[in-house]
Amino acid sequence: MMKRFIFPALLMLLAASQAAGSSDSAQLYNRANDHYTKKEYHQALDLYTELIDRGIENPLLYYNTANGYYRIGRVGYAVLYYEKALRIRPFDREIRKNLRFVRSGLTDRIQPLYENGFTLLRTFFSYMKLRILIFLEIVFFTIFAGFLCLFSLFPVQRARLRRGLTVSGILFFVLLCGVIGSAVYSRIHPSGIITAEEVDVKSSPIQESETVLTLHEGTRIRVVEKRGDWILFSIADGREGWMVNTNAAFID
Amino acid sequence: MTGTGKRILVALLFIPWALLFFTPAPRALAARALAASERIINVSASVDSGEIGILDTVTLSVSVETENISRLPKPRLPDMKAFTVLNESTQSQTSISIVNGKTSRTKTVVFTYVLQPTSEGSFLLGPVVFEHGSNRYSTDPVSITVKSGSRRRTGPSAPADLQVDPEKLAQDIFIRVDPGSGKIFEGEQLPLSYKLYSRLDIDSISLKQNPSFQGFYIEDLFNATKLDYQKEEYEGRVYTTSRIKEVVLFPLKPGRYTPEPLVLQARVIVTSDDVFDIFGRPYTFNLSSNDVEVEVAPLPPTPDLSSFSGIVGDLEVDITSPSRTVETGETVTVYLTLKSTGNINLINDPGLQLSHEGRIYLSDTIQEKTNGDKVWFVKKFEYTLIPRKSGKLTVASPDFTFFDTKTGQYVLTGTDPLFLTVMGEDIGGEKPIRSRKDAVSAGGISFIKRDVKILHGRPSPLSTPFYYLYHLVISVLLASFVVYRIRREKLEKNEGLLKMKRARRQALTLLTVAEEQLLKKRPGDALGTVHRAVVNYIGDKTGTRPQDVTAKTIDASIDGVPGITAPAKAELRSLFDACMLYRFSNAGSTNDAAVRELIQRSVDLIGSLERTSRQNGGKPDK
Repeated sequence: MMKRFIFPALLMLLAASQAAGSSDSAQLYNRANDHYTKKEYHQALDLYTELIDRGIENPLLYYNTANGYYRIGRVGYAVLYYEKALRIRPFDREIRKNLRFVRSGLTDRIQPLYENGFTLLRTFFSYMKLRILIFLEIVFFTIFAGFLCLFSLFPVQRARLRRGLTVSGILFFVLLCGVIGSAVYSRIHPSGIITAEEVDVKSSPIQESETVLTLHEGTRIRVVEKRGDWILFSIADGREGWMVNTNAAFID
Repeated sequence: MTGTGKRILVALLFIPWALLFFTPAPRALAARALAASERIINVSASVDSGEIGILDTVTLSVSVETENISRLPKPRLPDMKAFTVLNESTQSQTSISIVNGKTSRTKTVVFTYVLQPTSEGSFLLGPVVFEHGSNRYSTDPVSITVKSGSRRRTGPSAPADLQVDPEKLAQDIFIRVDPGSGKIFEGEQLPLSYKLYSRLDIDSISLKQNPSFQGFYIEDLFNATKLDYQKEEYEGRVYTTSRIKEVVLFPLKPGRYTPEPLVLQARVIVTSDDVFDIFGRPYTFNLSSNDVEVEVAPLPPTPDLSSFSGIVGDLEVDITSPSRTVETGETVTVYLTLKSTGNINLINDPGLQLSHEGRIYLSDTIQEKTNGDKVWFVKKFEYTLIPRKSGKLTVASPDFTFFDTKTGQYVLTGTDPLFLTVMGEDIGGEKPIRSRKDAVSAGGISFIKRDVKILHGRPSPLSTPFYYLYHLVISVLLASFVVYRIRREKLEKNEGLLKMKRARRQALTLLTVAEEQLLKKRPGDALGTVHRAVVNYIGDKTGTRPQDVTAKTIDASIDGVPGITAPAKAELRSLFDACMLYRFSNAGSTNDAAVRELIQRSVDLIGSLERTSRQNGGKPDK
């Protein structure tokens, strides 16, 4: 008899503790917002970063943190947290607008490797974050499952259902491949933002090696290879170089 | 020829020679004969100059005089940290003399090395070691002093073995830079264009020294990464020319300046008068640009130094906007363009003046360079303007004072103001900036996000179990459902199997009906229903029609029931007989208890048969 109530009780306790944690986090977040509106950006950032350190991944939190970093002049971290916020909410207009604004003031203006004709494709992929892919994959998986049930239940209607079943099955499979591919790729080649004010990019993972280019904070990079504390990375125009990984923070 | 044949032939060819080589007697004899007649008379080393500049080269000649030696090894050079070997060549001269009937052959071989110093100072070069057989010869060390700059500015020097005329070489290949009048004002532009002129076949060329322009603000215009040849006539001769470097200098202080020359290391193919030297030989040397001397005159004193922009030369100002009408609170872009031959980097954010209240921000600065008679620099300031009051808005640029080199006077310049029509309601206090959809927020970043009651974390779905659980549960349910449906469809297609599977359910349904009939005091009907249940069960299980299960066929039919045992067979037969007996006897004499017992027996028997059938996998009991 007791056993019957233990599991629901545990669940309720867990839910209550989570709600209490969320409420406590919300209070901290609101206090940080108060500091921000009073232009006490450093205090606000202390609270925002405490929440981030707790492992809370929230687009509002990232957005406000980015704003705070921008206000104190750390554009590298500002770009980083806008990117983190966009990863969760790719369609948020304010995040995109602020990110565009902060990027317009960056020291490095890097032209993408492929300029003409690829802008539309690049814009499309800027919205196709992993979460969107996962969402679409779940939707098409559910549709595919529904079609399969109907296909099994109504043998007479199979000719009609076959097309829907095939299309939803292909889309589900393609999206599943996209999710897996994207997750694996971002794990092997994570994207990051340069957070150090100025970085001398080296030709090899040795401090004394030749400086091939100098980059500044806010520049987006993608890791190509890791070797100890050093990373080989590429920037949007295809140039590559080595730097110590503490000069950058990673979005993924 | 077969493989074996080939091997035999090779063995026949090489074995005698191998035997001859490894036999000790002939080898020793031959060596003694050589040692007796060969000798080295003299080995010496010399350089063409004891004092050179860091940009020059020095030729080291190692001369070896031998007697009766046909082939000589190369001498071993000393460790030369302060020099690099650019070029090396060998020249030999042989003379034969006959004295008292004895013939002797004297050969002098000169090994020539062109050395490039890498650092300044005094160095002791040598000794150069020469080994022949078991003998070792060495030269005296040679002293060389390397000083700064070049000691041979007249042109490249030719190595001894190559009969290259330095003056001719200097006429055939040179770097030319023209400073114009050579007299400019402080802050005025001095464009310098370094151009390579050549009439020779250039094998390779690389930058040795980039000139450092101390005392100048430098604007790099062009640095060659590859040679782009063009034909050009200079002093009556046609040359192949290539731009090497273009730079614009702005002198920071008055005075007399001599910028360092640009030095290239060139490797050209030089042909000599030797008939065997028809293809020419490579020759490496340093090539310096001509000296440039610039006299920088001071600017005349200005009455108002604070208004002077620092521009010396020309300055043009323009103010434009892509739109002439704008709503209050919305953004409009205004460009202030400055075009000058002076150092335009001295002007930073001049700002704009508005006739009405409004907000204005510097969004971007674009720089361009245009080449003409003089180099013009364009700096475009992009301002984002947000008007707050409707009406006519005048946007004016400040005036700039610059020094005009043509007139030699300070000039105040500006441009006509820009007029904008502002529409919409006036904005009173501090309100959020409303920007166009695609426009970048002009006032900076947008406001912070609102307060929340609960701050939900949104971890990546891949890091939560929900994603995997959802897929797993749906997949398992779906697979079970599909398997069930497949089996069911298979069953539906096999009528016999279907009947067999449904026999128990059908029989139990009928027995339930019989119980109901019994409750309604209709024992006769109940008996008939029990009989039907038993007969249908046997029929379904054996695949025969129920009407074919009669007293005559019952035994054969019962044998076909899957999983039936001998006691069950007897019980089924007994049940069938009892049903038949009661049915064909007087129904009124049938009591309820007997029928209920029959129903119970039937239920028990069917249950027992089904259990046995399941245990045997649906097969009849053997």
